[in-house]
Amino acid sequence: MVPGEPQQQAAMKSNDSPRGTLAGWRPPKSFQQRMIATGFLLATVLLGIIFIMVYRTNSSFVRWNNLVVHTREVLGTLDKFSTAVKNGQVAAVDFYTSGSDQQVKVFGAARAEADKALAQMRPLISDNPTQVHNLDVLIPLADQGLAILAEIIQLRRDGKTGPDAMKPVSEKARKISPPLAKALADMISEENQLLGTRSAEAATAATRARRLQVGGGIIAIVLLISICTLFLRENSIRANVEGQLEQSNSQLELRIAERTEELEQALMLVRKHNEEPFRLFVSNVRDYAILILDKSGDVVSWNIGAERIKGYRAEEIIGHHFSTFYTQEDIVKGKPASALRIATEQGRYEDEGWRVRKNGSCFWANVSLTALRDESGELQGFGKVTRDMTVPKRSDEEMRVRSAQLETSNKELEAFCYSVSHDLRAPLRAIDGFSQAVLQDCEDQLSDRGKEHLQRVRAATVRMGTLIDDLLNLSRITRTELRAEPVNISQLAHAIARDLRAADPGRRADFVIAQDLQAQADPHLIQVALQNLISNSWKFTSKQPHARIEIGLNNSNGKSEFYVADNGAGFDPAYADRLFGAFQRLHTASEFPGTGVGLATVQRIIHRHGGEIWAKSELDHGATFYFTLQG
Amino acid sequence: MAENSILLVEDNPDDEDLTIRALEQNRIKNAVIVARDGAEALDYLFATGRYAGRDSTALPQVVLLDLKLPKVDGLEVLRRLRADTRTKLLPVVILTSSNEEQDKLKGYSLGANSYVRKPVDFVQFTEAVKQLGLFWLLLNERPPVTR
Repeated sequence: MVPGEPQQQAAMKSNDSPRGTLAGWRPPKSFQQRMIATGFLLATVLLGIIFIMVYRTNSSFVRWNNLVVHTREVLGTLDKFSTAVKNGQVAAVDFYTSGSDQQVKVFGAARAEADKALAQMRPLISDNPTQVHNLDVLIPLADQGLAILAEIIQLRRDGKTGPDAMKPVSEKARKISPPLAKALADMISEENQLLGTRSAEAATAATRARRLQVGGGIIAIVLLISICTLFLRENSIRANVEGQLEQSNSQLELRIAERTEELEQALMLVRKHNEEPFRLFVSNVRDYAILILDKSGDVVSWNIGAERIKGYRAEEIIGHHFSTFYTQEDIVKGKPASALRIATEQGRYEDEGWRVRKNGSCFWANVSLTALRDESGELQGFGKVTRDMTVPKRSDEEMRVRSAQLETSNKELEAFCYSVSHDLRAPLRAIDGFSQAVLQDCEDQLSDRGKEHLQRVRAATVRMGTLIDDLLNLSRITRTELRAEPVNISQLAHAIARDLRAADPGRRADFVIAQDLQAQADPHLIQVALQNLISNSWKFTSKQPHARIEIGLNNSNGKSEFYVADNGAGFDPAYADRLFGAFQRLHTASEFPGTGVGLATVQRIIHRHGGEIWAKSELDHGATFYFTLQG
Repeated sequence: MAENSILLVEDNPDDEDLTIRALEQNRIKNAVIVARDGAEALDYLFATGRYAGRDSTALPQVVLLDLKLPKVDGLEVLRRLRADTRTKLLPVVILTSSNEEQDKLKGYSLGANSYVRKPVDFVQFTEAVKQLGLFWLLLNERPPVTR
């Protein structure tokens, strides 16, 4: 089996079903790793065994080799001994024939050499019982042989150089020589035999060691090559698998992208059906500029309203940044950027301010900016709705200017009235006062005509005083704040009637006041209005023998109409429109006194209550005044 | 005599004469001291300026105070009188042409004892002065002197 095959199969499988198993799939690396690990372990063990074997073989070779060396040493020693004995023999015979003392010394040295060799021999062969035995045989024989040679030297010293003298010695020498040679030969042969065995053993060990070394090396190399091959192969397989994995991933991505595209197309189709009417509607809205900005604020879409309000056609503005619509001042202040930021953070941004049209003119805009996000919450851009509020803004400003003007003129009026109230009356008081003083102090010097003139001066000043007061009242009604609360009209009417009767107790008059008339009005102002209306009725009925004044309420068309009716002088309906003008009088002062301010005051009070006032009359047949309150 | 005097604060000489005349006609014999603006009235009452050296404890029986005055107006004079312990309880009658609500309201809230409107009709004016004289000069007990 090729290692890595399962992986390939797995990879193939993953290709077949990319969706389900891919995410959880891992190549079975452990098998490959196990293979490599086992290979390494095997190689290590094998090399270990080879090492031990080589070591042991080497040790055995060294041991055998040592033994060979030892044997050679023994042989060497035996050789030294043999040589020494021979040298001794030659020296002894030489001395015997020549009598040279030199030969005695040589003999002595040879004898010592032979003894020394024998002495060295014993420890060397102590492990070998055969040789020990042979040595034990050799040593006495060697001693005897050397002793014979010493005897020969002694013969010459004794001067016994004849053949007879030599004969017994030669006899002894002949007897000792073969066993001695044999003992020596036995030892040499034994050692040589050992040498042969040991040399063979050493050679065998050496051969074995060499073989093991070569074999082990070959095995080690083979193992290493195998492991390397395995490793490289595993790597290439892994790379292959990863490549396949990557490939299948990218295939998967491709498939997902394809699916997404399909889905988007489907969605587009659905949207197009749903959104087409909406898109048409938006693009045709004329009163609002409706545009879409991308994330950076560049215009993406543009409707007719935007074109109408801002002056750009779609192709002129799409792709441009929406700060184009801002004034230079606002751009410097960073308003466009902060608008996008606020809309992004809070979802929505609203503002009112001046914006610039294509032609450079400004318009007052009401702007609403909405962040557009997809289903995952990712910001896609902004929807912007702008209204041109220039006209309302202008009228608003005009209104503000007018109210300011009105307030100023009101204040002026108030100051004027205050001044009038104080200063205009003071001279009148002086005129009246000093006229009176003249009348009193100079009564005797004045003619009746003079007194009458002064009386008329006084009457005129008093009337003017009244006029001023009435005018001030009229203006005060306009100036004072209206505070509406529930008011009992019936009660007010009764109180006014009571005062009028008290002021002129001689008159015969009936007051018919409806029960419990209620109204929502300013108590002080409505009192002034009622006072004026009822006093008028009182005044204009003064010439009736039997006056009748009625205060009541009609409900017509769902509206409450209060009325004050009398049977007095009435007025010519032709002049009804002049009835409520200030200083307008339909009767002469001699007929009925008055300043002509009363009804003007009443009308102003009713109007301030949001009501209407009108009158019906016929000359000499009484008059009826109707009024409504709060519309 | 100064103890029972009347301080008339009035800038209009016509009104001044007429007021004195009205007082005389009502047989009110108290001495009348006239101050022609608010500053002079304050100088007189606190014995400062041209009235320095006057005994400031000798206060009039009543002050008849006009509102529209040169230099310091009547309401300011009233405010300063009420802020000073010496004149805190001094009877002050506002005597003026004005019939404005705001003047009445301010006058009373600053501590005026009465508010009398000078009518155009001198007969009515004389009547009003008579009522004033009766109340403030004859019936009203002076407040204890605070020093």
